[in-house]
Amino acid sequence: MIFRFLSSIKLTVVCLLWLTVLVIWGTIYQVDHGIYKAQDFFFNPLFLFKFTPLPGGMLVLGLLFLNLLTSFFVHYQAGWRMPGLMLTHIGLIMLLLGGFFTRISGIEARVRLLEGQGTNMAFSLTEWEIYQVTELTQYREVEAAYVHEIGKRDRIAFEDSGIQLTVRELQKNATGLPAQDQRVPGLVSPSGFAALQPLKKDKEPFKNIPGVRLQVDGAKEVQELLLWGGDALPAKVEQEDGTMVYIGLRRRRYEIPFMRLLEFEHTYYPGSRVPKDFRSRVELELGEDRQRSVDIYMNHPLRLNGWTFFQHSFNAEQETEMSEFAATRNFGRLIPYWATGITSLGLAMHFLQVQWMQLQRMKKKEASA
Amino acid sequence: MKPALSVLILILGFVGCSRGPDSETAIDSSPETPPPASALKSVAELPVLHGGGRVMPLDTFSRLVLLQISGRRSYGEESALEWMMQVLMYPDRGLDDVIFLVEHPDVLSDMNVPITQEVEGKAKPSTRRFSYNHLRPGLGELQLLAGRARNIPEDQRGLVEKEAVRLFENIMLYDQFRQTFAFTQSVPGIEIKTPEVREALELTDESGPIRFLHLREHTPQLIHLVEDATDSESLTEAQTEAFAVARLVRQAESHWAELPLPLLPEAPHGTDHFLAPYDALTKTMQDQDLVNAGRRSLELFEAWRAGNWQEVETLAGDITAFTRARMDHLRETALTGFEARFNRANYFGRAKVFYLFAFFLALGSVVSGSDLWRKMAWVPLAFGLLLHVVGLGWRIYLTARPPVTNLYGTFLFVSLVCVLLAILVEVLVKNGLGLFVGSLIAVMFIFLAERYIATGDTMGKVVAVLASNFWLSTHVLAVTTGYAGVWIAGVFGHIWLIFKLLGKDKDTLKLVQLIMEGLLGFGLTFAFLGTMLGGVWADQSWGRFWGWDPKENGALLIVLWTAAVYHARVGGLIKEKGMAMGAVAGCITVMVAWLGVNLLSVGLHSYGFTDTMLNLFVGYIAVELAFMAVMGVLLYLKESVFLSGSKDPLVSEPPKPAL
Repeated sequence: MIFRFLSSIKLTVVCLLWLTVLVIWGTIYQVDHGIYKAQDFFFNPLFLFKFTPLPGGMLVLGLLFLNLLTSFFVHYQAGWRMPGLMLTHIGLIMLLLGGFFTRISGIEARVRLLEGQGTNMAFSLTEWEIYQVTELTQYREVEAAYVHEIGKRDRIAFEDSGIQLTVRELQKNATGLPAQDQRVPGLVSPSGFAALQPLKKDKEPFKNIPGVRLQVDGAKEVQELLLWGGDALPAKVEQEDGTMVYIGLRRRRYEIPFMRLLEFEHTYYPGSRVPKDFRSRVELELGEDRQRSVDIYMNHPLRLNGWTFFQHSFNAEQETEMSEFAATRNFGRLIPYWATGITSLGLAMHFLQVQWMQLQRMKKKEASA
Repeated sequence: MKPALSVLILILGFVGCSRGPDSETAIDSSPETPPPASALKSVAELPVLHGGGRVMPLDTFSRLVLLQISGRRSYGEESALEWMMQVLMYPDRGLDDVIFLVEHPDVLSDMNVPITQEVEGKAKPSTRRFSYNHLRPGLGELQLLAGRARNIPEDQRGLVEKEAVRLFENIMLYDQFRQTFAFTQSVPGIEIKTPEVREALELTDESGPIRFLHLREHTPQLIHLVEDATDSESLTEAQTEAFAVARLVRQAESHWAELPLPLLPEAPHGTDHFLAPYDALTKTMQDQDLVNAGRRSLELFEAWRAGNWQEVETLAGDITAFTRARMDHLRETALTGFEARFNRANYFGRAKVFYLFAFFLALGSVVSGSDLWRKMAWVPLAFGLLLHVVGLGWRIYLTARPPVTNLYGTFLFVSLVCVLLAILVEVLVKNGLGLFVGSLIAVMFIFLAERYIATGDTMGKVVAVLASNFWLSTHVLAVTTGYAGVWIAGVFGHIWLIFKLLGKDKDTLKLVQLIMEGLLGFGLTFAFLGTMLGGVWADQSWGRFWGWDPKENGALLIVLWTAAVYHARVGGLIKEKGMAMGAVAGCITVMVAWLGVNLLSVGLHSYGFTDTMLNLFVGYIAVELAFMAVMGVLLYLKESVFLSGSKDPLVSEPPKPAL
């Protein structure tokens, strides 16, 4: 019964039409609320706006996936007679799988470098982490807990110290309120804040700066930490054994191959501000005494160790030019490529076959008439 | 009158002479003879740097300027180039030309200018275009209005404010073009009296009227005269006069610097900066080649005014050669001659005329069933197609890019694909319908392309991310081919519904249905391929395959809708009529994806949408929905049980099948 329902062509039509509605609605919604909110409310969740009973994009695409899969068993026993249709549906199954795989495993981050500067870290635009280091040196061990995975009253314990943190307040977008007259006893804030003031979430998620108030156990004097995403430095906390640890809130970091920006160049079309080309020359450290220089520019990304680096933007208004790269890692990257080829081939084969059969039928009819 | 005072009075008079029509000027004294085509051709090819970053022939440049000011590509019988040459060479002759497009009449009310204008003795209340002289009394008010509007963020300005800014900028632009060669003229009424200043300026009794450029070139000598002056009280008469002349030069210079005709490259293979003739002569005196080229432009001006056309051609050729030599790293500089020829050839306009002929012949064939008309329709269609292909070929050659880089290009490309598909249909079924549909769509889309031209340069430079990528090229070509397939299938959907209403026989309807389904399948295949190739391009360019961008969604919409219609048909949820209705609605989804998403002004693909296009888009959707509703009702009535068995009231006599 369920099998028949899942494989029915009526379900296909309903899903396609509902997806059409979602696409139109979600596109119009973007005008006032931005693309990220539209993704969050229409295309990524199971239900619209995450709570209504109306199916969201993820649920519809999931149903379509099951519909495609089950219809194989019900409708295509004689599939070899319609190879185009088979290929089309195989391609679409791959496409949906690829999309799902990318969604759960893909990483999108940024690398921002001034000329001469190097790094082995990319940062997330949307995810944040509470981190702890035991020393403030250039190369150090870092422990982190991801903000999107924690909730109020959750406990965070770092292995390298005896400090335990309990979340007392978590704001997705906030600013800090400075202490009015004097320090709040037992509260440490790197920016000198006494409390967090929640702000309305911005439609561009990377503009949201979170804040967190943490109860601290296992430290001398410090009872509470107030960390804010805009803090320039981490909070300094003395443990009960007298050793120091540093705890802060920052954009989530990903380790990438070490790269140094040697030079950034940008050109405009003559007499205009229309960008013609912008490119970065970076030096890569590939191991002991193994270095290589490469150019990253528009439409010519660098692929290295599973990461892809794209020339994203720049700031040439300061004395030292800054270049920004989009860094992505997606092991299922090529699945949609294959899916596109297979589906398109299948569609072409199918429609040619159908048209050919129709024409032959008409010719036969004419001949018999 | 004291010599210093007379010069000072001239300062305002001289600078103002080129600004207003009521000042007595020396600039318009020469007789004009109409330029021959060869002279026009030679100046048409002059390379000029456009603000969009492209070196283009003066011919294209003039079209863009006139389009910006007037919304038209010619002024009456005059081509844009002829109009521009008149503005440059005889700045005071076109002041009564009705060229300034005013899209919002409230601006005129705010300027205290009548909203009707007399042209050749007749008031033209409905005109939207006005002359410089008509608007001139309100320029002060307009400047205030525009100044206030500029203080408001652009996206918060109202229609009147936007129009005030636009009109003021256009009038200023026009005014600046008029002054391009004003510096070459004699300073009206100037008289240098003191012998020292006359000597410094190398003036003799035989010297004719004093030209501004002469004063400009002798400024160092004037400065030398006043070097030892300590305070204004102790100035000699000569020093006072020298100061006044120097001040005149300085004031006029600030007026003439960086005028908007960037004709001469400042440095060879260097900064890609172009200078107007005045700047070329005065900015970098040590670059003798540049100064000589500046002088050439000056001589061109004089030769034009003297009607010495042979010399005009020589000088224009010299300037073109100079620019090409300096800018040999910019491909388009060498192609200005080709582009000017391309403009003159007007391939698409002529193709449209041929398509129109083909349309009427094919219509006649479909209505009458005449095979002769059908065969005759092939001839203009073939000519139209030839011109269409050649025109697109020229565009590809000139831009060194695939034919689809902006909306204008998509109209031309989609119409070409539609014509080719229609020809394929005609070859297969030979009933005139293919010719009819192909020519109809070509005329419509070329008409739309012509409307789009008003938005600016149709061969403009594209930003870095769109500049060069195999996947981008294949994406746009595939997706627009998909648009063409779904669109033309929709047109056959219209035909099916009309034929059904007219009571055409079953075989005819079956044939149209077969064509429609085949084209819809073609459209679905390419729309899907194009949409996914867009994802591949996005993944190659910035690392994400799909982002639910409005244009991606638009393309996806076509795929989803067409797939839904197909599945509904296969599943028996709809029949032939539903399929035809679905194909017609497919036309709407194409228009939404193609034009509609640009209305949203979000995302990466929101290029060029004008108010005219908006009106056309909304109007189209309304007409299409009305068509579907009316056809639905009429077909329902026709098929309803109340009419079954009786004679069809909608068609008194079923027409003779033409197919």
